[in-house]
Amino acid sequence: MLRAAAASVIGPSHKSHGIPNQDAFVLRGHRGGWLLAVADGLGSKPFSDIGSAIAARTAIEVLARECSEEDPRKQIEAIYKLWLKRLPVSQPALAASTLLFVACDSDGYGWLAQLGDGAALIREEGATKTLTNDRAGFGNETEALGVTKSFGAWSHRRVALTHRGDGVVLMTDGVADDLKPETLGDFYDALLMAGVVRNKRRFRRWIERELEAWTTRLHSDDKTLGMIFRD
Amino acid sequence: MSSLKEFTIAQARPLPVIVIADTSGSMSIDGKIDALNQAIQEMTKSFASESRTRTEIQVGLITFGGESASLHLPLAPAHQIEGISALTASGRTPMGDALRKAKELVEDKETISSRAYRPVLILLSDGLPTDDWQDSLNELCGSERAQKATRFAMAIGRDADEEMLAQFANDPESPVFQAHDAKDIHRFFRAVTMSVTARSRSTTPDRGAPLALAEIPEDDDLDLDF
Repeated sequence: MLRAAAASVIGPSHKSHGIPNQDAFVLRGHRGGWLLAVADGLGSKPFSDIGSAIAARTAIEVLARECSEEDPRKQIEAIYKLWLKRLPVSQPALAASTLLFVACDSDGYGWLAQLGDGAALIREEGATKTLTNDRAGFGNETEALGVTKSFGAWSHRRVALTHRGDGVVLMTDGVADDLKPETLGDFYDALLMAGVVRNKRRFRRWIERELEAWTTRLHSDDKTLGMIFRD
Repeated sequence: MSSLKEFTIAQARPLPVIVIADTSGSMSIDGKIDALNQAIQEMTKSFASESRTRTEIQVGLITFGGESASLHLPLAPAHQIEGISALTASGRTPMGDALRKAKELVEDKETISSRAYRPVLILLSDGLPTDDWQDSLNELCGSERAQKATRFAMAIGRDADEEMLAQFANDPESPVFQAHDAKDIHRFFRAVTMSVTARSRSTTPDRGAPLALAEIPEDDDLDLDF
């Protein structure tokens, strides 16, 4: 069966400055499958926490209404339009946010998409891959809702979580940028092992503890990680 | 105890600072090279002692004097730099070669990873370049990664090619700084130190901080009334 969990923690930098979590996620069971969205508000923008929260919520609502991988452009456009409509600010750039989401049905078939940094890690039939390539520029340079209108800025693909151990992990850059690229497969395995032996609540708490105990020196960013997997 | 430690990068996100320094023969006049040596040492020490930062400030030094530019100090975390051998001034001003080397350094993802914050490039010169610099500058300013770097410039003395340096500098709030004497070289590097440490302490180190030269006194005297 498909199972899922997600968690988010405030980064040390934001904690010490009293800044709210600028990451957001929504995880929802849907007709035997799962919908998961992860968003990271751009730290330099004043309403980034609001932008990311609305982005994650809106993505899940749109996908719950019509979850079809047949026309990614149409669905992404619908999410983007509703996000713009719901923003409490007149300039979308002030609430700019990345967005990653995955939707899959009870058989494990679905699709995922990503705008901006962070990472989507995919395990299908034993092979681990990421949705996007390594970024060309530098840290914290990212496309985002409120920044680009280009459909070409999005990455998307279908996914089939049909084998035991298959799954998708969505992460904001606070997690993804600190991972060793050469151990992503092992990283996925460690998450999978932790998820398989725990129920949803305990797995969420495990993720939270791991994100709180992050070991990269001087790490400062908010961190969010969500996972859907077949056990 | 983290179960994910073995999959995470131990090092902090770096903030690279690369100084591209003129070490041509004219820099030996009026104590300029001595002031430059001292200023770079002080800047590096300041970066090394920064314990409140969110980043690991790295320092690298490219010099241009004689026939070609050289990587005097490979990019390294400031707190790991035990000393920088003194710069000596001699020969011509191969600035174009230095800009080419700077571009190669910034474009090298092995040296500056994609998790690094946007680098800071600092170009300082007291004379006219003696090689073909325009193509090198165009390539640096147009390259995928180097064009995103924050670029500050200092013109030392009246013979510096201010027009060229102005093409290099890309922060509208930080135009080319005119250094008239050795003290001004120190002022400039103190402003650079303040700008970089302000970035490294902020919650958004990816955003540049302009040079606040107005906040740096003309001299380093204490405020004593005699």
